[in-house]
Amino acid sequence: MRNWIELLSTLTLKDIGLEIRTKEVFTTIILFSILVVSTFAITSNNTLQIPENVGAGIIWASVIFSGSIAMIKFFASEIENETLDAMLLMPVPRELIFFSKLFSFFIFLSISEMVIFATFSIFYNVNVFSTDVLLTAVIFNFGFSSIGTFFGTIVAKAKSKETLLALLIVPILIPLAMFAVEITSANLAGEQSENIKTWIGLAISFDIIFVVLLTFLFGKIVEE
Amino acid sequence: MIRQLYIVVSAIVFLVSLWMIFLWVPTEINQGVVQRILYVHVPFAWVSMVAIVAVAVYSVLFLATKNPKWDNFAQSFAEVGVVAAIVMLVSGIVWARPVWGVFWTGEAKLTTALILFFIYCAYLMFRSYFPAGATRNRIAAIIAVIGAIDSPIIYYAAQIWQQNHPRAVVGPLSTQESNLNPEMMITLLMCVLSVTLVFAGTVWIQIQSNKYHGAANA
Repeated sequence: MRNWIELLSTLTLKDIGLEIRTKEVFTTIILFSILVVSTFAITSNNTLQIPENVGAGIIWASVIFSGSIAMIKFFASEIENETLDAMLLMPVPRELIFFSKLFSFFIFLSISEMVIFATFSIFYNVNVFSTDVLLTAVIFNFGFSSIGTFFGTIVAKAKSKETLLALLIVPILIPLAMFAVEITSANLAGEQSENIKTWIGLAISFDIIFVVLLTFLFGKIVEE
Repeated sequence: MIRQLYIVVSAIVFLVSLWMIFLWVPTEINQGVVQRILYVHVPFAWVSMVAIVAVAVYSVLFLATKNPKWDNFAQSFAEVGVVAAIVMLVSGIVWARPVWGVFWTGEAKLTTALILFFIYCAYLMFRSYFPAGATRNRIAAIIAVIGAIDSPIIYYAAQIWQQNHPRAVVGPLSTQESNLNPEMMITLLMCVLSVTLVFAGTVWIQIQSNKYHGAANA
């Protein structure tokens, strides 16, 4: 068990170290999201009054699309240098490789989201940061990272990766996106969602189902 | 011989259902002529749902047995099912506007149908973008299984979403229950039968086509 934790942290730290050097994932998520948020702000005539659900939709749509583009970058170097294949040859359980990728991307996405929330708060003069939204972000990011890692591995060797990855992960993520938009829009309106407990229950169940399922299936997609 | 008989029976049933829709069935009193879209929308919704279940079942069978026949079945059902889903979505949108006053609402069934349509588009796109072979077929089957597992969660999420966002039913029928009279029910069943026959025939042709296409590529 201790060996597993050590291995997991080694693999995760390897990805973090690589990202600190290249900064590809951070740059992609942050720049793309800021571009989306600011484009909405500019094209809506810099009006500060936007409906809460539209505002929440802008935030989470930019996170989903920038995250899916960043996921391609995340796997690009592994494929170019054939290090993913090398990792799969290592005498470690494949589940550990999946979890290390999941945790690394979770960390990158969470840090980038703080910048996106801050940008949105500046452009629309609202405070996105609250306990509910931060909890939502944690649950959302965990689900997104697990689904993204799984499908990122799948499309790594396919043609038109960007389109295919977005097409694969966005429909599956819809329940989590609904949850995130619901909690965030209620927060932007200065309230708390009526069904907050049901939503959190649903989102956590979603995360558990998909992490268990994808961990099991990860071995099958990389077996060759 | 059986194939010719099948085509003749399907054609007759199809023509009879067209006659029933346009000439025989009475016009619904509240919605008017537009209600006749029901006879297209419901049968196509039925076959697209059958297709989605079939894709999931055959994908599980393929993963369990590794028999390429099941993968071919899943692919063929997905290809025809996606076309049926497009007819279902478009006919639903056209019907909703005069009846509900909007083209689209956040209703749970609509959201689930749309998302499932996207999932199976992704399934088919993956098949064409990934290099052909055993790995592609295995991963495609996994995508279909994930889509099937996700669908009840999408439906449940859309239902909770709907509680907070009541659907925008502003048309004259917003509060009225609609019941089908016997003639309408017979017409609907006839249409379901004719679309199911055409669907099954198309899936069969697609299975044969994919079988030879697969054999040619092997």
